[in-house]
Amino acid sequence: MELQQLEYFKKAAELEHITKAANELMLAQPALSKTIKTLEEELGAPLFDREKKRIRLNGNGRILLRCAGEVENCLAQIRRDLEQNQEKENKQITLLLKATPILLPKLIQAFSREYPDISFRMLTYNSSVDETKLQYDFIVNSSTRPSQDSNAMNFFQEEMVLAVPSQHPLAGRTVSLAEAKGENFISLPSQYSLHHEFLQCCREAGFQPHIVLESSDHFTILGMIEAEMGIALVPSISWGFQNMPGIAFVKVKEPACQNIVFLSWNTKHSLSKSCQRFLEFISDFANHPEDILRPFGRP
Amino acid sequence: MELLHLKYFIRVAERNNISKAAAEFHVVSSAVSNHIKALEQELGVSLFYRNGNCITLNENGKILYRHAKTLLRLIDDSKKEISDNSEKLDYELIIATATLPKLIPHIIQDFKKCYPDIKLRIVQFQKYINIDDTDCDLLLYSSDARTLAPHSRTIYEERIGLAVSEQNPLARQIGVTAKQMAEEKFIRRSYLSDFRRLTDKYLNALGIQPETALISDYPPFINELVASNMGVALLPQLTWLYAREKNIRFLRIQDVEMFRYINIQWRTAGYLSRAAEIFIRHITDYFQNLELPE
Repeated sequence: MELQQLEYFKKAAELEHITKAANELMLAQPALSKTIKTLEEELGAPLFDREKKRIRLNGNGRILLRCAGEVENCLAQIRRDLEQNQEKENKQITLLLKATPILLPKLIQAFSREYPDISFRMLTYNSSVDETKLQYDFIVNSSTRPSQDSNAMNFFQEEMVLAVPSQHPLAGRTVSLAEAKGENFISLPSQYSLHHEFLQCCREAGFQPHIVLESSDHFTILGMIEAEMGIALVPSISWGFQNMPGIAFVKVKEPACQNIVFLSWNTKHSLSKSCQRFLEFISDFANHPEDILRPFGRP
Repeated sequence: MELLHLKYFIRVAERNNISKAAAEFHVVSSAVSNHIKALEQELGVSLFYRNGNCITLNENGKILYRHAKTLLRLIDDSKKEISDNSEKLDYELIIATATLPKLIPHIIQDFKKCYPDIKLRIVQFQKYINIDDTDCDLLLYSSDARTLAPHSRTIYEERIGLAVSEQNPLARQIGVTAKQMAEEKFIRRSYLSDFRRLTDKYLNALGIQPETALISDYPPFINELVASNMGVALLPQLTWLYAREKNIRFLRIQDVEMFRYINIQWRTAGYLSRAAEIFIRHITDYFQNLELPE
């Protein structure tokens, strides 16, 4: 049985007239007769009682007509549900977070004020998941150097600073990173790009840091610093902790440690309208970061 | 859209692999891929996440899968209903069995004698399954209480007793007390088995923590071990009777009545075919009139 045969049968059954049905279906009358014959042969039962000039649906035909109606509804439902899902997916932006700059929630908040019906889904990157299996629109990442990828936009640049307890001898000074050589360090775990940026900066300063603790949570890291467990190299702005009591931020004059936050987009599918809006928004931010950054205050 | 598209699509979704699905349809992989591509093109959406050989349904695919199953069932049901309406019953009645492996052949034989024209296919499962997830019309399964599930009926209350070897001194008795059982070593099913959970519940209620001689989930093995007096085992009466094991005695437990229940279930959605109705009626009668052999 084929779905098209069912559709043809349905028309013939509703009209109980082959010629009229064939006309409405824009078919030759023998073609329709043949379709119905094929169906009857496959089912091994007649669907119509044939009288001289007309046809009348019989009990079997009524069963098949009900089925054809249900099948038609089911097909329509498939289209509706897929459309609805498409709409939902179009209004959702999925971000895969390889870096977690605190300014991201601010950006999303500002974006959502403009586009309240677009929602976000955030996946936290972790090395145990296969990235190619994930469905996402954008990756948020950071690096010591601007991304050269043509499918990426560098949208925020800041200095890396040393976060130290406020009573620490380095507090209030501008230092070379090499001066912190003997310190205990606290770092993000290795699945975060900042971890590698940190190691890279230390390598450039000529030492390998002694890491006493790794934590993926910014608050924990800063809390540990405040508790004098160690110090950390952190982004000066995007973590948003400038006004935290008990912590001092120390400018690093060499090497120049930069943190560059960038957005790269998934090239496996084209960007939805919502994604394009988000990209435009981020690009505006890159050109005029002040509006959103004001509450953070530069150190 | 073609029904064949949907059939291929469903099989690929269930196997997560195009070549496996193709092999099951005895066609080349590219044929199946082409059908899936045609389907995606027609619907204007992608249906799968593709990752090397493994392909899994995405959100669109899940939507289509649900509806495609319904659609194929509608068509299948209408064929059966038309066949019933013209008194032909020329379709296949598919029965899933998750219990009584030894007794099922007798039941089928008996049914075939009464209804030689109804075609049967028996599909065996090791455990209870959701019948709506299968192509089966009926499911026979056991449970530890009378069924309250929709579209199901308990057809037999089966006694559980203690199987012992003829060499075991207990074999001279007709029944066995909890106290006597507590002194025996048991051959038991594994924790994976529903029957193990059921019998553990009864034993706990009697305050018996049996010593385990051996664990096996393979009934013929258990019978063999009991026969050679490696230990005793709690067994359902029919399983024991139809195993026709020599050298085993089946003892009633005197302190408590232990039972399990045999049930038949049919699909919760769609058309219940005449053949399925006939089978339900027949098997209900079969168990009502079941005379246990000596």
